[in-house]
Amino acid sequence: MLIVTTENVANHRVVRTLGQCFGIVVRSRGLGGNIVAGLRSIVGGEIPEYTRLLEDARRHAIDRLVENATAMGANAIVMMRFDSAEIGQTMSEIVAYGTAVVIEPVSR
Amino acid sequence: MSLPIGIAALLIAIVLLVAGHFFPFGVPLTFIGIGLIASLIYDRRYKPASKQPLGPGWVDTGERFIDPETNKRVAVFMRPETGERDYREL
Repeated sequence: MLIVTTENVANHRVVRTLGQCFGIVVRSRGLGGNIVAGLRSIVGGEIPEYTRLLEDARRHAIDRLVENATAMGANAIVMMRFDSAEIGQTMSEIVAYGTAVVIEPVSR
Repeated sequence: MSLPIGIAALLIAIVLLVAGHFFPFGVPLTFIGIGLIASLIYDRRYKPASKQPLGPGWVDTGERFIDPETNKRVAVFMRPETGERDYREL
């Protein structure tokens, strides 16, 4: 499964456009992570607890996107994008979305 | 870091409860201590990258990134039939 943020894939052509596909996840740190992150925010700098939260959310959203695209019969996702939002004060929503397509190599 | 804070909160709470000081610190500290320790059990990483080799049927996607927590290079593998992905440390 090739995932690209561009409309076209080099040396390939789109033979079928299957439609939109999504990977959505809402994640949060536990009480311990939020308390430690809150203490760190007093002094500033990077907050590794929330960096970890967003990294895990990114992986989770991409995994779901790929599983959904595979279920649609795609072998690539083009125009992939991320969107994010906050739910409550401590929950982070990440959406990975793109267009599921079937591509094939262009013979030269 | 939350484990020592949680254990400390629970120990202080036990001392306060034994001494008969339930509020405003004894009972709330008990809940905070239990919450901190419980968060260690449930708040785990999503698919942490391990060094264990994957079985047959997994394909290297060529995707690589550096895990911001461990600073290790991670490779992404995929099972083409299901679209399931997994992560392995390089």
